[in-house]
Amino acid sequence: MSAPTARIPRRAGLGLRQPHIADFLAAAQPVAWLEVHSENHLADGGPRNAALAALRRDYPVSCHGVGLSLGSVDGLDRGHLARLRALYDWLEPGLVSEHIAWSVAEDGTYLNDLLPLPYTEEALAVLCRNIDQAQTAFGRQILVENPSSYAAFPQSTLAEWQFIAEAVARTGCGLLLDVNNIHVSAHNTGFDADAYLASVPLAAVGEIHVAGHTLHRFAEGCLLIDSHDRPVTDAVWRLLAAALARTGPVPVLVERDSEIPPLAELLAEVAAAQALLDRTAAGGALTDAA
Amino acid sequence: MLREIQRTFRTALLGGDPAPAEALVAGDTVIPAERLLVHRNNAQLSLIGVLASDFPVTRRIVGEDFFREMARQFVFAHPPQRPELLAYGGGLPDFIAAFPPARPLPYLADVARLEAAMKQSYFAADATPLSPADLAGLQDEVAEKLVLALHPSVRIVASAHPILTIHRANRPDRAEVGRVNTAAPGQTVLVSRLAADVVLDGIGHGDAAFLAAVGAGRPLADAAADGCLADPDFDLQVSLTLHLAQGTFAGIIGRARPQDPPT
Repeated sequence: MSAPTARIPRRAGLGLRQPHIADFLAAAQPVAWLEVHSENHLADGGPRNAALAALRRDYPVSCHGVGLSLGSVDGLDRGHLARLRALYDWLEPGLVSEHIAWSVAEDGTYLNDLLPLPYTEEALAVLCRNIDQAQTAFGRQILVENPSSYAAFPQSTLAEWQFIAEAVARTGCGLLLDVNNIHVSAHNTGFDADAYLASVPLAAVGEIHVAGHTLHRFAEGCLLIDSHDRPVTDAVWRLLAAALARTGPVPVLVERDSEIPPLAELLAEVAAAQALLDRTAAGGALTDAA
Repeated sequence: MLREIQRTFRTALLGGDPAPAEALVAGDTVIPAERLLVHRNNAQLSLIGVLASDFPVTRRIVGEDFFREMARQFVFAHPPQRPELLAYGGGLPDFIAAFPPARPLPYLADVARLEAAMKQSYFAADATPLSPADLAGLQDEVAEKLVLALHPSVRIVASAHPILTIHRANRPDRAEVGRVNTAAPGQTVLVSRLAADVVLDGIGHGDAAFLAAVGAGRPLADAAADGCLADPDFDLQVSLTLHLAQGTFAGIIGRARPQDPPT
């Protein structure tokens, strides 16, 4: 399998969303690469895929799957795997990623949310079997993204970073490090984000995500919601800088999935991410992900 | 453990008893019920949002609150069975037809059927439309034996209600809802994709029967006969000219030979 970042540059990219497609088709935009949600393009044809095919000629494209459900106890949906494979054969994305989560229940119902796994040997075995199945079906390495957690399970026997390190070691998959998810999960489930960064297998990081979150107050406490509906916060930019200091330059993606602003606003965030990458490249890194 | 989590969460997220899932989750100042609520909102609101986005006219007709409650009940009864939301919502029109609160709006299910067809058309396979030049110069007796393919984006939605007029009056890009006589005669709508847009055209009974026969793989002469049976004024030349101009056909898939027995 090819190196995870072989074709996606170690620069700042943007998650391509429907309202901005016209902007990208009309003029070259200052982003080094684009990422799309795979499931938005599982169509037989039509204008959306035609636009993507056109942009693919000008930008390296990464595919981020949101529905494969790597944590499903009964394995992966073979039909979905085959449709994703066909998309990847057509688009030849530079990176393919999925989530450490589940979204398909045992009766086959797709819940359209990234749901939490207990960090147990049982769940680890399921996750690794499913990652193996996906990598075999796609004929390539995939990256798996650390989750944003709202609920934890008392039965967990491993820390999240141990769970991830084991999955990476056993399957040879790469890691999509979402530093907003680290920030959100650290607050919601009570761990230290810097300790987490020091412990995850950073050598496996093939891509980093940044996004915005919101605070939701309940009767007695509050949770951070991984809402992707506002700018990246300072705390998350700091985590990005801390991660890059350890990994060296890797592809960094700015994600916005709702309350989508005009493109210019997101380009400013892409530029901010690129500035951090440039500083990392100039200052050298503690370790090199490659 | 994992199986129990996945079974109880599925129940808790889509309208069932949340207690068994809550019992599995750790809590502190934020109790398990509130933590589960985040996931329940994510699942329900995102799926309702998909329907709201794909059925904007149906939504405008019934109003935001009615639509969201109807969509919520549809999501509970018919959650997606595969992780591809581009294919979700096709069952909403039938659900509306059997949804008691929608009974005062007998046309609503067919308007939703039209919107479901538009979504299918938008994501249908690409194909180069047959152009007038492709049929130019053919003798009538040759042309009549051609078997044409409908473009993959073509859908035909027939209704006993004036669904095209209702649709136009309630389009989301209209500042104000237009006045419609919902008791007017029924309409049949040709849905197709022209360049990057899904377009709607009202067609007559003759045209509808003609296109249905073409879609069933019958030669033009036979299809035209169906058109004439449905509407004595049906004119093959007029219909062909119109449909070639708007890309209704994707190509010639066969030519019935002269020696073929009449069908």
